[in-house]
Amino acid sequence: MFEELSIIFAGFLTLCIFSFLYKDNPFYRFAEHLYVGVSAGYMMSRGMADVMMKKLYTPLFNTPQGTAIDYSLIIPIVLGLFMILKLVPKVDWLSRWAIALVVGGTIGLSMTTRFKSDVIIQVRQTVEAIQSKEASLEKIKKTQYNIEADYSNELKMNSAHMEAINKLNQFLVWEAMALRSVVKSDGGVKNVSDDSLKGMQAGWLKAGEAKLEMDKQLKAMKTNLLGWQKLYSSAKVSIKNKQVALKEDVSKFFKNESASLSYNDLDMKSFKLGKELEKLQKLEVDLASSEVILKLRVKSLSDTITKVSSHFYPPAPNRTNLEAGLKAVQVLQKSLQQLMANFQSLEGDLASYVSASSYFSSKEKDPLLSVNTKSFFKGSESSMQSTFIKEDLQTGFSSTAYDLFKNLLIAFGVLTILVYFFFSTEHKGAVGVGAKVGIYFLMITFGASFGYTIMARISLLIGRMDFLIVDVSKAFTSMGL
Amino acid sequence: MLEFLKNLDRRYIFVLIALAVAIPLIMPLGLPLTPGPEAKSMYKVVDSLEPGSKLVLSFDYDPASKAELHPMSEAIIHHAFRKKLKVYAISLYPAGPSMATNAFANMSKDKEVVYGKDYINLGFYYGPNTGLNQVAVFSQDIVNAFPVDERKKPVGSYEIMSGFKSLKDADAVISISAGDPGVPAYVSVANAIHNIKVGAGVTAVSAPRFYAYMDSGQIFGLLGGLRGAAEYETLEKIKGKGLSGMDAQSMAHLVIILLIILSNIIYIIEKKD
Amino acid sequence: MKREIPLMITFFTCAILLLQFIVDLPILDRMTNSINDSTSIVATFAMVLGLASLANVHLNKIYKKRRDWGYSIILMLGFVITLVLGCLHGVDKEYSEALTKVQYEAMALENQTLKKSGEKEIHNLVVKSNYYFVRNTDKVVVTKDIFDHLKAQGTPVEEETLYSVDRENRLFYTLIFENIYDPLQATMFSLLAFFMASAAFRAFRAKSFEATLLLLSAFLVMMGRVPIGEMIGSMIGLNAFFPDTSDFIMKVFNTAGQRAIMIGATLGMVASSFRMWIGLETEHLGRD
Repeated sequence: MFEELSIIFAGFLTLCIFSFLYKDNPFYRFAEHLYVGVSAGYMMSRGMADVMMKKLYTPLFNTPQGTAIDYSLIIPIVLGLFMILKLVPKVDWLSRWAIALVVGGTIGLSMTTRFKSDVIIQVRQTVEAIQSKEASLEKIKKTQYNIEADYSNELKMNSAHMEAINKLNQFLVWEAMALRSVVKSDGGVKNVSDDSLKGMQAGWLKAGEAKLEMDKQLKAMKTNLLGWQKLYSSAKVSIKNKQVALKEDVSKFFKNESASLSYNDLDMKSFKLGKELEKLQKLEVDLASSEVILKLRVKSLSDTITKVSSHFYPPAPNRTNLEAGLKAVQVLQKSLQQLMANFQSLEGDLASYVSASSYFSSKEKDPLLSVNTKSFFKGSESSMQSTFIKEDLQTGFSSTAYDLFKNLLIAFGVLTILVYFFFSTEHKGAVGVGAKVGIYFLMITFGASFGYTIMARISLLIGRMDFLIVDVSKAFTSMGL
Repeated sequence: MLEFLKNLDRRYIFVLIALAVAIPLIMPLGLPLTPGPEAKSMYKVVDSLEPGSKLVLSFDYDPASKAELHPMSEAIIHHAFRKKLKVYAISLYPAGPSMATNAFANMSKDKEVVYGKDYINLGFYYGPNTGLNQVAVFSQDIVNAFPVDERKKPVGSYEIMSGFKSLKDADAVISISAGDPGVPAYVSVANAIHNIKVGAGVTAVSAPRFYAYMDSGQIFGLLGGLRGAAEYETLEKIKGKGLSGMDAQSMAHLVIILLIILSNIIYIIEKKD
Repeated sequence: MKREIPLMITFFTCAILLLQFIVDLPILDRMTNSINDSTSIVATFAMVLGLASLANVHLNKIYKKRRDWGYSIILMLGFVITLVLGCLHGVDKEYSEALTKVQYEAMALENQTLKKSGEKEIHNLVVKSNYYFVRNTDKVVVTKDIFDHLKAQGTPVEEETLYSVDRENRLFYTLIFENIYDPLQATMFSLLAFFMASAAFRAFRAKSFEATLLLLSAFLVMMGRVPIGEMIGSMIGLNAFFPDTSDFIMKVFNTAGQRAIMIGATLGMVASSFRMWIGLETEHLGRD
């Protein structure tokens, strides 16, 4: 109720101000004076809350633990009081001391910082944008090359596994089709000629050969995954070691070193130690869960291998053999599907490993770094950011000449406008032409600024209209009006 | 007719503008919007920060430019909360902290974020109009500038403040600014002197000025006016006040352009006579 | 004396700031920090001064019953009420009140009774633990992990439990800030949209080549920055013409123009600042 009434009152005030568009009237003047009064009161409250309380009362009379009272604040307070003395005609000259400090503090800073950001850097950019085009192009080319190499590495490894599974799957599909052609839907065997049975047997023989090869591939995959598992365990061990070492560090730090540090440094360092511990714990959890997934994957691969090796190939095409063969094929197909899905999610699971590797990449001699799988991680990392990187590359490449043209035009514009600004020489001859072009550049700039100004003012009106249409009507509705 | 147009009472124009803005707000057209490179670059940098990174938002505006800048702040806070960043609100404008309070209140609804742990509103720091001195203090020692937060509690008691001693500890600083003090101060002091990453969300009036900073890489992104807010909302895939205002903005621009064309036609006819 | 001391203050503060920019010395860092801080504090007093003179003008008007003095009463009422409420519970949406353990328990009990009878809890109670490592008089906030570890090691640590209740600052924040100050200021500035449109109709004419350039550039930018420009462009077969052209204007012509203005203005500013620094320019100190 309080909220709704407040909003409706705000709507009324909004309309009061808008009424000025028709003509000046008491409603507008009421709202205008209320605005000036409230905003002055608001500013003053802010001054009280944010400066007097925070900057003066707290540090002088209510100091937080661990900090000394800051007596240097007396100087600005005295100068600030001098500022107020401007109201007293006899001693108003004292306020100059305060003004002098504000002026000195402001110009000292703006002379240096503004000069750097608005002159030096601007001039440098104008010149360098033209000069270093070649160099930056080379850089972009190099980045792209690296990323592509990493990508293909990652893709190659993954696709090798997937290809193996796919081949096996194809072979099974073929086998299933052959079996289905002779087994009836009720499980009985069709009456087929001896010739076709012979053909099938020849086919099975071929399938047997293929199976042996698949067997080999699957075993290679298993070795690969076991390698990963080893890597994970060693990573786990090194994380554990690191944790122990860090805890030792913590004890040592708080016992011995902390005495010599300032309050701020002490706080910073203890924060960093806390963060490090937290990070290690997160890594440990990540790795543990990845390890579980990896174990499951190895298990399902081992299952598949067993199933493939014991896969039944009917020596003679009789009814029982054929039925059992069909069933075996179905089971195998299912487990292959599982395996395929597992491999498809490989990339995602590697993320935790990537984070572990990047944590250790700054440290020396860690087991994770000695393994030659660095490019693999990099590939995964870059694939995460690939969308944006690709976009950068596209814009970086397609517009070289165009960019050069743009930067030249900017440099030309800056130069001509500065010529126009330079009044120590008469604007005649070449200088005159330059100044004229400078004016054209300025006019386009001002036009753009004008467009943006209209945009800004309209936005403000949209804000108010939106308030009247949406918020105020909502307030009326929720009050049942 | 010509006479009527020549001496057109400006109140007709007022009504026209009011209608051009109000009608699309009541009946939205839903025109699509393509984000520009400046907004994308801003989004990219915020998006690339890791969870737990420190993002400083400087609320350098007051209700006068709320319509343009508030949707930006809300979209950025939405993004930061989604990415689990730590958000620190500071302000060079007296009313800035209240704007921050409002934006945080709107964006923390149905989200698991905790004041003092995931975000904090440090308040307002007064100083000369250039803002340079204030930013110089922030860049050296922010706790000195804000010994207590907006709720008047010592900042040291908040978890989010450990490890955050100055702007140099921040992973990115974005100033949402209505002019001076604001972005120029952050660029001149935080970026030029201390090499701190600075982004800018500004009113459309001041946006053209900052294209020079964008070109020289002194700011990592630029959101200009309501349009900038709408672009960020599009990238963040939320529907806020920025996007919902774009139709009205379109219609109002169209009306003003038609008015300018009409006035020039009158001018040409007058000149011939 | 009345002029020399202020000139010296300006000279030395400015000199320290300039020196710090060139030389890297810890003492200079400390001094500049202190100058920056002091500048801010003194500037606040200047604001107080401005507001005091505003109040002075209007109180005078009321006292002497000059024309429209009634409005001055509204102004002063707005000023005083806002200030009093702002000082009472601060300026934020919520304010937190520290409680003792006893008070906290009493309120928690009240909450529980309400909850039992199916009503909403009225107190927004907050309990928070802080963990510290203790070093002489200093206490440093540490994480719970480190706290536990240190405690187990026997290092001096301290746990502190804070009780407080959060209350809403409705009169100041919801009413005065959100629904008086905010709409009044926002609407005041939004009036400009109308006057801008009317001025554009009256004065924005292609009277010369330069004016035509300005007009064209404004037209292209206004079309390019709204979605409808894109739509109209594709309707007349120009596709992204408006957005692309406005982008080009902004990134090339506008960047060049703004950069040149920036360089020119800053050089001018540095020159006049330099004059102020060495005391050639004393306008800001007023006249004797």
